[in-house]
Amino acid sequence: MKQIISILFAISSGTFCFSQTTIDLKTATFVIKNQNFYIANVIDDRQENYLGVIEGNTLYFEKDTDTTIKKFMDITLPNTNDRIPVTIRIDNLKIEQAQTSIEERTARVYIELSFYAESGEALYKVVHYEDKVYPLSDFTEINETHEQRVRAALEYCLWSFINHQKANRPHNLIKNRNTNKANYTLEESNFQTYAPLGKWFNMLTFTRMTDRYNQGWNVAYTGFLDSKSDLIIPFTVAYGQSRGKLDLVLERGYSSVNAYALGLGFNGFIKITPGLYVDLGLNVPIGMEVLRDLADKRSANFLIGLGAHQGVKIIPWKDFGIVIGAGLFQRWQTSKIEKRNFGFELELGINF
Amino acid sequence: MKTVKTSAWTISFIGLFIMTAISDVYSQQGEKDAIFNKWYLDSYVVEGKKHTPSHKEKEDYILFREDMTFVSKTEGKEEEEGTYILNTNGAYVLMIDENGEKIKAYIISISKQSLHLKYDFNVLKDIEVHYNTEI
Repeated sequence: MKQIISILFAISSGTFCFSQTTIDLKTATFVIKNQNFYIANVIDDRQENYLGVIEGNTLYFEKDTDTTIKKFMDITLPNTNDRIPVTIRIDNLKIEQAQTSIEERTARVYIELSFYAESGEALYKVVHYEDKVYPLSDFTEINETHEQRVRAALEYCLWSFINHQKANRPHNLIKNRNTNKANYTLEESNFQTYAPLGKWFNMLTFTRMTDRYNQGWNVAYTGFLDSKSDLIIPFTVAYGQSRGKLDLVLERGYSSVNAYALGLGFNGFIKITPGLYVDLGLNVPIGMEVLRDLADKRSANFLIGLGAHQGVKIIPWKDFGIVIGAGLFQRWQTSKIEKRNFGFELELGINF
Repeated sequence: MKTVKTSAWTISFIGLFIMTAISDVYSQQGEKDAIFNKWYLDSYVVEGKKHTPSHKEKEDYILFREDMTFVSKTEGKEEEEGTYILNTNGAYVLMIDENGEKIKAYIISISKQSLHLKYDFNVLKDIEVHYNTEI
């Protein structure tokens, strides 16, 4: 029993170790000349001490985040006797990556830094996204360049602070060594609240449609980015068929009616919460209706019309799972058996 | 004797390390200084094929000043001004115009005479834009 527990412990420890990746932030990077300040202190004020979780791997710096960034700052802005100490507080620092379109992946560093004078007075706050878009297959390059993006994000924050000081020279706290409340200038430059990098959903769905005149099915691939935007425009490729109900077809003087159509138009998802979407669409179906009369004579009819649908889509699990959808549709088209129509559709599929 | 050998190795190693670090910083400082120039549009390169700019783009340029401001002329239109950040770690120039609009351009290569940029917006994403110091 003891042995089993030991083995299980060893396996779980192994898995735990395997799921951590450390990032070694390069320090011999660049030097900012002609500045009158240096970074005396770096305070890590984040809730979590890791940098991000990518494909199950938790990212950390090799040493503590504050120590690592202090070392970077010491080389960038060396402490000489004539320079004034400034403290940096790390409010947020995240490394992320996600598929953001059908063929692209975005890698990103999100950073929030606050700068303080020696007296503790706040001088400046900067919020920045350091991102780069890669082809979907460049997974290795993305992983190898997270470190570079962290450096670039830190450099951006320093330049942003320096430019802010330059622009506010009359009230330059650092220059004047003055941190009285009267001169206090806290600038939250381009301040924006953190928005997680959108998640790309791939869905394969089968839809069963039924109305008064037809029964049909549709298979579709849908890809969409669940971004912070409330309206999402998905990428969809679909194929479907419908068949006229026999009693109605006979009533119209035919033995069978089959329709094949492509739908061109606009489709949009309105996000209620992540995983729950209202699906709205407007399209122009163009295709062919193949009719066979009671004497088995075949004829074809050009189909064109206007269609609309309204429904809901539920994706309970983000990474892999099922997709459930239901909706209503309306159609007006140049059919021989039905010009106006409305019906119901039920959708089932998977997301991956 | 052994101590002398070890010391020689240590000194060589430290020397090599310092030289590498200095050359790295120096090359980035060099890149930073090299950008301070007036860059005239020379060509567009798409999938290795060079394309000449249109007639109205003939005198297009970007002037990067040492005070971190820039002036640019695009398609013969009025000059635009703004500030820029040269991010050496990210290898890009971030230009911020008077309306606060930001344009990011990755530096593919830079020398005293030529500057190759790749702009980070959809229309120009796969296009290298080549500039020279002379028309």
